[in-house]
Amino acid sequence: MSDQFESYTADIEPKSMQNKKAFFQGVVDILPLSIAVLPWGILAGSMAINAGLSFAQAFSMSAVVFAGAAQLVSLGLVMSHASALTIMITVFFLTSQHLIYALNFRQDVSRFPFKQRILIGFLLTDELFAVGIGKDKQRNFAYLFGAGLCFYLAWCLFSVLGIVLAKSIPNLESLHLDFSIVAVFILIIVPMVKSSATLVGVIFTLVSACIFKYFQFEAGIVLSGILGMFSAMCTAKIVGVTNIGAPK
Amino acid sequence: MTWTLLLTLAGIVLINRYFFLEPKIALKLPRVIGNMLQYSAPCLLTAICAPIVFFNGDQLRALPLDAYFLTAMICVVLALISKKILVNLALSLLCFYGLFYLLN
Repeated sequence: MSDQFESYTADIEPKSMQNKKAFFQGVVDILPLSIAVLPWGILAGSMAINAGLSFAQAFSMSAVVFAGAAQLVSLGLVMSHASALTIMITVFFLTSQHLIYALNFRQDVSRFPFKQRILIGFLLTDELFAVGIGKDKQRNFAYLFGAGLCFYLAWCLFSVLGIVLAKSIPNLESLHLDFSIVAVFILIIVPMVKSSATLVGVIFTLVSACIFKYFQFEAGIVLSGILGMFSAMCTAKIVGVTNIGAPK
Repeated sequence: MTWTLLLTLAGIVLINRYFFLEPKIALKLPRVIGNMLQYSAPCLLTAICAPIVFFNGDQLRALPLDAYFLTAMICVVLALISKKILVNLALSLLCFYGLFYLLN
């Protein structure tokens, strides 16, 4: 009985410590992205005000929708008097890459209890995916929650900044604030390209994303991503035939 | 923007994010999908960046002498040299605004 108790406490103690550690590791890992999102938050906040939203609505956009690109595009559509249905369909396709993020995290996250699952679901942004996907062993709740929450708070904070600044800085777009997140994403992508298959996938994605963008295809992100993934897999199959003992 | 639309949009985004995290969604992935998912991170992140780097709104940028394009190339080189993301980010933003000033 006492043995059982000891092993029980021994399990609990390090676990809460581990969780704390994982939580802060998540925070640290997502910090560069949280900083780089500053300009995007400012853009989203100020654009909401410029589109005629009230303070409460502008803030809710960031706090509840919590999807930078979807917010900016839907605000643009509101300003050009698009119908609600158009905006809804556009946002669906624009954020459909999240379906694939969730597929990646499914194995780990679907085991969490509902409250934790829905929380991670809400926090599952491009950025959390970028950070979480590299951490196979650490994809536990504490880690994902630490990273997701840190990013969420940064996003809300910077959006408020944008809302406040909207009146004082008239032409925020001329400051070209949108490059920072691209820079961080490139810095994250490059180390991921470790095989010729991944390189082919990235190149296919790049070209097709530009073509979809040219023809103003709203689902461009997810479609070009899928095309790239497919071409990477095919390359791996072909290279795998010639390379015996190639990585699984 | 009405509150109804705003909350509907939030719902749409949440459904996209949560859908495959739900264990009740019965799903047996074919191996092809599993193989493709290995490459989802670099590909999807590239798909997000590419339009911003190569397009200004709906217009193709004036390549190759464009600050977005050139700095993106510099970022790739920086990432190959060092893994310090914050230092690289600072350097690339410096390059970005320097190039912007030079090219205009």
